[in-house]
Amino acid sequence: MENAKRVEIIAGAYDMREIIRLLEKAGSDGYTLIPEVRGNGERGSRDADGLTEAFKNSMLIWVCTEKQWDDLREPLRLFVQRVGGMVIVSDCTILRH
Amino acid sequence: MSIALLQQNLLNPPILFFFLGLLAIAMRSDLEIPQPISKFLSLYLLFAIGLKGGVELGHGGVSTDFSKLLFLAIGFSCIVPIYAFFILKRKFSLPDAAAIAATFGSVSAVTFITATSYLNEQDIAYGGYMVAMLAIMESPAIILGVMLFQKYRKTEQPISTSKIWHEALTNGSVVLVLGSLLIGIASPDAAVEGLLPFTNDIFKGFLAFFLLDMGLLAGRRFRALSKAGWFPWAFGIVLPLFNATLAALLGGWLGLSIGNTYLMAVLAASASYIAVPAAMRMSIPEANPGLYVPMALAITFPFNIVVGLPLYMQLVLWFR
Repeated sequence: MENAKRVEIIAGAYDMREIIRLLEKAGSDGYTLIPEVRGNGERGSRDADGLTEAFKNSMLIWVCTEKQWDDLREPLRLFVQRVGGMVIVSDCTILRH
Repeated sequence: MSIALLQQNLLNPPILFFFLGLLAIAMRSDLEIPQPISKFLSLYLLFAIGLKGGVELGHGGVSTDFSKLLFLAIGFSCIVPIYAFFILKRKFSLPDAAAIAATFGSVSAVTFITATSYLNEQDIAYGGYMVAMLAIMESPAIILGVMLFQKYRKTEQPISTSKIWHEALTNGSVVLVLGSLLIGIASPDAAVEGLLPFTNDIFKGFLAFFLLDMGLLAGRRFRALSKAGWFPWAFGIVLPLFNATLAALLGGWLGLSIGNTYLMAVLAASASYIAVPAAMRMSIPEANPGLYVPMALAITFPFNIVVGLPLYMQLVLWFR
């Protein structure tokens, strides 16, 4: 069992490419992407309705070390500040196999 | 406007299915078209109209109208976003003004397709190259919208222009329409004949089904505009009317055929709700899609297909 950080990022489907790029720059060796999530927030409803992905959010889950999170924190904050979204960080324990 | 023209349009099955979609939302019905089917229908319509246009172009070639239409197409797609932006900047934030300007400077393929169906019902000919005009008018407004946003915003954070160009020129609608057009031009008649049942015979049925979906979408997006005030409604109706009138006037003055002038008026009056939202989410994420998408989808699109189609024909006939 190892201590780690669990980072959950909810943002626009279009924005995930850039977020993944930031993760890789911070040394990510893997993540999980849930392609469609729905909800409502300060930038309006995201109901995944319509013929484009303009109203579609995705969710990314990344388990990382403290150092990786420190490297990602500020670039991610600046990006999400511009495009909108939510970042939830919690402490977790992972079972290595 | 001739009542007969309006009546004919309102009793056209695809238009009636659009109303059915709106009614279903008003009744809070659970009628829903699964998204993959919606996407397939929109792709089918682009494929069919592109291929048909290419085949006609292959037979008939380009007429003297072509160069004049090209001039109008480029003119409208470059000038409309600019003056729309300066009008919108008085009422909306910079990102929203730029995104809405790009939306109304671009075009709606579905409105164009519905207009061609209308022309076929009236037995009015038009050039197959009008599909190329559709493809040409899709992208410039996207670039201009982003450039206007870039020019007037206060922060220094740059937007990657290569990404914008790439998105504007390679978006799915443009690739499919242009690609189908070129395939239609290049393919011999004997080879295309086997496709005709797919692209011609079932076209109207698929259009009707797609307009049902558009009615459902438009109905769902009405609610998003309830807090936006009167201006989006006024803009979403007045700007298309103005652009269509200008196109009809210029078409008459340039001596273009009725069918081609009409389609140019429809393109000038339409607004994008597929290609532009994708580009705007990427390049101006600060803009609110809850504003520019419903304006195009819930205001301008219904106005155009219910009132606009017969009205623009009347305008074209008046300015002959």
